[in-house]
Amino acid sequence: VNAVVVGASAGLGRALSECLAAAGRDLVLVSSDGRDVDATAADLRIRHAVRVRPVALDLGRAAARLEPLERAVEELGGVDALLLPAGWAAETDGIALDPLAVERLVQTNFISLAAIVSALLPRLRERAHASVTGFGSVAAIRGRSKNVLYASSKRALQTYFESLRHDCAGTGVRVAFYVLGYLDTSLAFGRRTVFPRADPKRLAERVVRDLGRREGVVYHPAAWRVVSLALPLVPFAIVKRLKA
Amino acid sequence: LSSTSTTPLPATRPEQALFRSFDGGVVERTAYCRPDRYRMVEAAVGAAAVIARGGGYSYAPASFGAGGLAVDMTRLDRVLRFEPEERLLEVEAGIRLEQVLALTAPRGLILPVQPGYPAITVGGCVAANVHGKNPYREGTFRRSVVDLTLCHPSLGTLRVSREAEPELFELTCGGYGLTGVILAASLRLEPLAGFTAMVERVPIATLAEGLAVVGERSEGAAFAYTWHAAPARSFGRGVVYVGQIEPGPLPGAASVPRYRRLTAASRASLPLPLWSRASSRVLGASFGALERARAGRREQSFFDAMFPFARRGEYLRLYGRRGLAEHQSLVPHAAAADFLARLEREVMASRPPVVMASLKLFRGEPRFVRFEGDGVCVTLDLVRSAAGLAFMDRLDRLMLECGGLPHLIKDSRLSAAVAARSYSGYREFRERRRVYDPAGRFRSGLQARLEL
Repeated sequence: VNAVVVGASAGLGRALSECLAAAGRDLVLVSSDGRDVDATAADLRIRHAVRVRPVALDLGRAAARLEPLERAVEELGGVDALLLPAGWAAETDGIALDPLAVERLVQTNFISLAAIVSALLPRLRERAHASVTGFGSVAAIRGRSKNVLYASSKRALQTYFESLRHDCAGTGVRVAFYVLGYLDTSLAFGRRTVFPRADPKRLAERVVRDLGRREGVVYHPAAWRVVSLALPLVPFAIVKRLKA
Repeated sequence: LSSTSTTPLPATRPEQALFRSFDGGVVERTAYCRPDRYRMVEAAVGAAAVIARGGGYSYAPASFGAGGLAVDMTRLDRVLRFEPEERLLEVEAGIRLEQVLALTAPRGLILPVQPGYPAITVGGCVAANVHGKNPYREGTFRRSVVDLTLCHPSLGTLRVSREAEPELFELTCGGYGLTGVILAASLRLEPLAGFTAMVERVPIATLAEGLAVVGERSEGAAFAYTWHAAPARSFGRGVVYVGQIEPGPLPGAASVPRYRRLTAASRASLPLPLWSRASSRVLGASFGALERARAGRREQSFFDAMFPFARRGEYLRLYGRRGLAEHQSLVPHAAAADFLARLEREVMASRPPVVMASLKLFRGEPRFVRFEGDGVCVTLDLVRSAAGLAFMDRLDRLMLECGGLPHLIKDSRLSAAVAARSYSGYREFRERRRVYDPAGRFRSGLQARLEL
C-alpha cells in the first residue's frame, strides 16, 4: 500500500509521513527543498524499513513539472493514498501584496495541489480502494484583512475537494478534507494565536487511522465546526468591527 | 549542498519564552525560533547574536542568554545514515539519545559515551563534549564523532572532521556552540553485548576508600563511580557502583521504557526546596542503608544503568525552583588524595548543604576549554542557598590550588577568572574561535559570563 505526501518534509506533512511509514506504507514524499525531503526520506527508510522516494518539487512555481513525481509513483507501483498537507503563508499576505507573491501563494496553496490531484487521479481510480486527503484552514471561513491569499486559496481548495468528492462518488476513491485550527508547526510559530495550537502528531495519527474511512469535511479540533456554521451568519459590519 | 528551491521561507518570527538553566541559577526571557527546514537554520545564523539549543539540560545557560536568539534544534532530529556493518550512524543534531538508543540497541550497537539524561540531544553532547559513566575507559563524546556538519554564517554549510578542518573540529567538540550551529554528526558506534547491566555495590566509609575502589575497578568495568551521602557524623560514607554489561538478548522495540521527561521548567516546579541539611542527611542515610543492604551483584536494565535520573527525576525536582549548585572538577591524580582530604575537612568544618557527592576516573587530552584530562572527577551537589553558593567559591579555591579543571557546563555561577586560571587552553580557545566568529555572533549566558 503506497502513499504520496505533498509537503512532507516538515510540520504536519512530516508527522503524516512518520505515521504512514510506521504503518508500513511505502512513500513518495514531495517537498520544495531537496535537502529537507531527502533527510526525511532517509530517516523514514532507516527507522521504519519502508521504501521512500523523495521528490523535490517547487510548488510555488507555475508549471512545475510533475514528471519526477509521476515517475516516483510508477517506480513504487502506483498509489493508494494521496495526502496534500502542503501550505504556505506569508507575513505580508494582504490585498496590497505584490503580484508575484500573489501568484506564488495561490500556486502553492491551491493550483499545484489541484494539478497533482489531476495527474494522480487516474492511478488512484485503478485501485479498488484509494483516498485523497486535503487540508484547509479555519482562516478561510470568513474573508479577513490578514492572511488574504492564504485564506482565499484554502477556500478554493475546499471547494475543489467538494467537486472532487462528486467526481469520485461511486468509485473506490474516498475524498476527505480536514479543516484545521492552529497547529504547533512553523506556520503558526511566532504568531499570536488566540487558541492553543494542536499537536500535529496527534492529528496525523487521526488522519492515518481514518484514511479511506472518513469522507467529506472534518474539523480539527471538532469545535471549529460550530464556528464554521455560525460565523458566516454574522453580518459583515460586525465582523469588520471585530478587526478580523 | 545547495537549496533546490526558490520558494521563500514560511513566515516565521521568533517567539519569546522564559528560559531557565537546568540548575535553576539563571532565568531569562529571550527570543527563540524553532527551525524545521535547513533554510530556516541558515536564516537564523544570520542573526546578530545567536546560539543553538538542544534539550536544554545544561546546568549553565549554554543554549540561551546574553541577548542571543536561541535556535531550538529539536525539530531537526532525523537519522540520515545508518550502516550497522560499519558501525556508522549519521544523525541531525536535534535527535535525542533515547531516539538513538531505540534505533541502535536492537542492532547490538550503542554510543559508548552516554551522559546522564536520555533526552539530551546529540548536538548538545558534541558542544559540551560530555562524558558518561566511565570516562577512564570510554573517553569523552568527541571520541565517537567522525565528522560534523556545521552551519556557519559566512562559511556556509561545511563538513568538519579531524582530516578536513581539524582546528574547527577541535574547537567545536567542547566549544559550547560558539563556532556555528551543528546540523548533523556522523558517529562511530560500539558493539553492545546485551541489554542487562550486572551492577555490584561496594560499601565504602570514606572518600579515599571510594577513590581506591574506583581506581582499581575502572579499567575492567563498563562503569565505576561512587555515590557519597550527605555529610552526617562523617562525610564519605557511600557506595561504589561497578557495572558490567552481560552478554544476552538485545531489546526489541522497547529499549526505551516510559518515563516522565523532566525539563528545566518542570524540574523547577516545586516553589520551595525540600532538600535541606536535615532532609538530605535523613534521605541520604536511608538510601545509603538500602543500597548497602543490596550489596553484591544485581541486575539492572541497561537504560536505568545509563540514565539513573530518568526514573529518579524526583531527586532533581526536590531542589525546587531555586535549584541546585553542582561543582564538578577534574583533579590530577597526583593531587587527588590531598584534594579529597581537604574537601572532607572543609565539609565537616563549615557544614555546607551538600546533598551528595560522586567520584569517577577520567582519562583524556585537555585542549581549549573542553572538560577532559587524566585524573579524578569530583562532583558535589549542593542546595542553591547562600551557604551552598558560598561553599562553591571555597571549592573553586581548593580546586585551583590542586590544579583542577571546573566543568563549565555544570555550573551557572563560575567566574571568568577561575575559568581562565584553570584552563591552560582558555586564552587560545578565545583567540582561535574568534577566527571563525570575528563578529562574535555566537553568544550565550555561559559565553558572556566566562568571556569566551
